[in-house]
Amino acid sequence: MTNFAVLFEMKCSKTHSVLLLLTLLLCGVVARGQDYPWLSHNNIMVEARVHAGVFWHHHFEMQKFSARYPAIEASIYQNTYGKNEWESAYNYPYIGVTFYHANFGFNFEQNPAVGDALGSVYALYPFINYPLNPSEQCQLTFKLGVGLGYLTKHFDNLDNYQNFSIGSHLNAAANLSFEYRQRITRRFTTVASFGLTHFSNGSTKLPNYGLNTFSGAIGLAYYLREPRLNLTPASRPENYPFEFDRKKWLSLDVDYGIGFKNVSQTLGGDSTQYYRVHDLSTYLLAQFTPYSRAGVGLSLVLDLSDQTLPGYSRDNDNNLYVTVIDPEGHQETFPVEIYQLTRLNFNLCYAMTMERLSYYFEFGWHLKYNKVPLPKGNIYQKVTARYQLSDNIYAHLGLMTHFGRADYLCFGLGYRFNQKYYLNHEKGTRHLPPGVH
Amino acid sequence: MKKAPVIFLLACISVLCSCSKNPFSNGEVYQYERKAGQPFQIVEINDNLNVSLKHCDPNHPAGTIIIKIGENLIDNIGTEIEERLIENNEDTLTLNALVITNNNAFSYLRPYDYTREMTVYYDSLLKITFNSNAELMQTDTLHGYLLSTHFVQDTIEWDSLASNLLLEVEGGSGNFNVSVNCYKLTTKCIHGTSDININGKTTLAYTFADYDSHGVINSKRLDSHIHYINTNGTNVINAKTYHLLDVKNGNIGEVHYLQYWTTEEEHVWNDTLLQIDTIIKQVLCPKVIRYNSEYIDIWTYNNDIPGLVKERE
Repeated sequence: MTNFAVLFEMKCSKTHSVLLLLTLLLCGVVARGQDYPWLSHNNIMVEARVHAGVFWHHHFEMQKFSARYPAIEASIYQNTYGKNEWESAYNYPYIGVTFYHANFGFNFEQNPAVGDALGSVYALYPFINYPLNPSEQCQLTFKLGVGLGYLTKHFDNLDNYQNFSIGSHLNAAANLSFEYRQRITRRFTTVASFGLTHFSNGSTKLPNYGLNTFSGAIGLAYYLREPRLNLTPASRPENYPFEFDRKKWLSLDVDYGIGFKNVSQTLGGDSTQYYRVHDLSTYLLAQFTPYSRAGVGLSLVLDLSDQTLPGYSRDNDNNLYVTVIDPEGHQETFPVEIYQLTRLNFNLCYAMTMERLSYYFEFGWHLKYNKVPLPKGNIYQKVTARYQLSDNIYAHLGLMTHFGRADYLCFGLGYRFNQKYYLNHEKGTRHLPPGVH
Repeated sequence: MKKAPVIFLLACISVLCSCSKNPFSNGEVYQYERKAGQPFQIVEINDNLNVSLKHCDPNHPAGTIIIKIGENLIDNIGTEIEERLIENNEDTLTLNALVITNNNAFSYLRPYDYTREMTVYYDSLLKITFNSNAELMQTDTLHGYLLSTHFVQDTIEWDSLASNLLLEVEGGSGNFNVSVNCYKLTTKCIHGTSDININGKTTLAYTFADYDSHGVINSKRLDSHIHYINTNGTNVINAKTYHLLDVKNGNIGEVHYLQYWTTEEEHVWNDTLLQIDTIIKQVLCPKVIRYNSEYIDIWTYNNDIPGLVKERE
């Protein structure tokens, strides 16, 4: 890149940042000029940040594209004030949506290979930002955001084969960051953050090793109206059955999810063919704290793309065979039926609840019960977001990974069987009116 | 709670400082010279050092290693000799390997673009293993290692004294550039996105590309008599051979070979088989092509099989 081009790029980047800040501040001015009651009722804030990032390639080959790059981010969000009980329990978190843009090609080392292979990214993700301390003046917070990202470059087996981190334009974008927020006036807050941003398509289209970036950022946040006082926990509304109502609940959740995988770019075949992944899971969970549950789970997963993996073959009659090589080097080929590709999984599960939304974190093991090999290892991790559609029915979106490498993304519906229970020492008191022991 | 950010920062710094392999700057670039200590027949290149292989000369005896790198990084550059077992027909040989590593960690704390070059002087090599994101360069022709006596050297028409060479790319995304002159050349690409460029000549060429191999294997400038290709990779393998091109392609990758006549008219123009045979020898193109166990008519073949592409030079 010539010096002129570099200067032009830098000017563009600075111009973008300035324009972004001006736009956000203009939002504030325009909003101040008119009466928007929802702004003052909901503690709405706008924020702009400038990032300096580095790649954290967890795959050795991608380290060729190590570089430092700038990024910009704009957010609009609500600083919760205790309308729901869980908000006060989590120190009144910030909930909103972030737009993120990074041009990986504009890197400070002037390594053109990075831009040629990785291009740039545009992402939009909803987030929740948990304060870790209750102070209103200076807060350490943890931001968790998951949404969609569009990467301009992705793997192509002939033209862009060195970028095997990203297999498609459309990806999931996830952000995990620690922030330090210092209030400088009643409405202005400065923000400094450090965190991880991850892009991956959940292996819906391979190859998909994912792209990870670490970045530090500074920014400015602004309340569009005078911030309102937080409500006290005593003024909370009625609890729903999917919230903790001070009773002991044991729940049995049963859900089904379906996912899709395209392996044509790495293992051949029709580029429009998506293999289905079926995931039937059940969890037995107990409530431990007002917003957390834990337990164990079992699941059956049938990933039909497994039959395209190396080691599998079909004969002329379309019968499926698998070749297994044992540690001593002995090779064995035997026929398998599709249903034998089903994996039985056992997991430990932890759930974090925020009203209707909850996150489930699983750490599990694939249990081997036939001779079919487990190509991705024995241990897995799964993250699921659930939304309660009613007291018992929920929708879910889950990502299965093997130590950071996405396996599949699935979505579906589930049903929860709730069972109230009492410990022995509680049985004598359970029908007494409140306050009587 | 106000101490939390400070504690977090101190924890990060202590983690970073706890390891001696994470210098914060590269330092001044100097040239260092080392001796391998023992003769070696295998070179294993890891991490991200740009390596040049050169045949030894009176000024640089075999085993001389010259490293050009920042003073803060040199201590973590490894040039160790380790034993490796090599299977040769029924026998197993124990040979020495020069293992090259760059153990400098936390590279994101330093400028990425820095000098890291190494020149290795060798006598003869049997195998090169490559697992690097940098470049393997070569300014002369690789001298192979006389491993086997199962062929009579007099029957080889090449001018090589060498017999076998095994090039193995285990991973990485660097450029693998070698020039060879040997009887039998085996190239294995197991993993990664490295571009492999092979020049020179060989009698027998074997090329394997595994499922996770995504880079180009370019042997367009490798003159061979017989070239066997077994690929499950996703990219292009270029080949140039005199007599037989035998391809087994199990994936979406392509095999490109050089061909000088592409139409039947040209075939008719070269009226007799004898003439054609003579011209074939002059211009280097395969007389026989076998693709996934089926023989291809080289005169009428018109690029209608996915994965097999005829090219003109």
